[in-house]
Amino acid sequence: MSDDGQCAARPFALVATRVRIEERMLFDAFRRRGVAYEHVDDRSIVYRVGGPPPPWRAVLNRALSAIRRAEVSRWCAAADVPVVNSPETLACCDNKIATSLALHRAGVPTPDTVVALDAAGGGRAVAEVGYPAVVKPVNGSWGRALARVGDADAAEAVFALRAEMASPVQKLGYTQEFLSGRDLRVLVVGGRAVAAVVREADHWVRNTARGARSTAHALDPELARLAERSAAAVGGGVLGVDLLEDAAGNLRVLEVNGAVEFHGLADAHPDLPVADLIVDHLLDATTGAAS
Amino acid sequence: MTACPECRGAVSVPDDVMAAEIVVCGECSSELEVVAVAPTVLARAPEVEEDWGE
Repeated sequence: MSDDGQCAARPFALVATRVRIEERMLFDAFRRRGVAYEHVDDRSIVYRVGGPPPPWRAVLNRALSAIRRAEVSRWCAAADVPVVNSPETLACCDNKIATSLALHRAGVPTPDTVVALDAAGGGRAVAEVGYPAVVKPVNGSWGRALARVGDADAAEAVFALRAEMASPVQKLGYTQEFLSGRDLRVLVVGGRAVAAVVREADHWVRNTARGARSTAHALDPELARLAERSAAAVGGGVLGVDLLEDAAGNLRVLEVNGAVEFHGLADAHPDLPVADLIVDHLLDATTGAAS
Repeated sequence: MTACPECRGAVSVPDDVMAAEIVVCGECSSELEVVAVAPTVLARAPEVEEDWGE
């Protein structure tokens, strides 16, 4: 059998630590396409450097841990096995400083952001942003460990706690101006914005993981273009672009998620085959058609 | 029904359950990970770690 034939005989892999609603939807989409696939728990992977390549035709990487997620994509890319998302995209999305720098470089509007490389400089960073400011963990997600800081005393308390944390990453100070407005998420698949939702909650942190409600939002050309530019800025792939729209309609990009959860968006757009679009993007990757 | 590894209560598991899914014990509210199917084996789900997320 030729290399191409051997490759075509391999199953696709959905790498996932947990089988959640999204993974169930993706498995169904694989089945609808009639292609062989398997679920791979990233915690089970052991491989020899220079040994056999990943035994899959292409990989949809949805590991929960950012560290393991990066390693899965690194291994696949090193062996020329198509993987979504790429290690470059994940490196950019799984570090908020890297995301901010990439968005700024691409001319994408973001909240005013100041970085301190040690907790000792956190108070200075917040003062430079102005009050109220939001202090975020550089590698956090699901709205964890966010703090809205209203004055210098609060900033001192937040960074005193961060200075005591064992993880050196938590000592970094990533601070942004606090902006009020509507919290939007746009799903971008392979360079194309496919749908948007508004996320609403009683709390200022409006992550679906913390119970925020998602409702359908019109994907107007300006919003779509900005989301697509943001996705391109971080390297492209399957991405969730989070934006804030102020009362005047100005849009700023807050972050780009490289292992996007989409069940809220899928519920809000019941006629949109979200999982099918993602699987089709992966299938395109095996023919070089993905972007 | 499968026994909860935390409280020994009876946990109802769907017929089509898959490995790596999370179920919740109705008696003690523990989050449990399905670590094997046919037969179903449950373990306490790991705590969310610092780098988990989307």
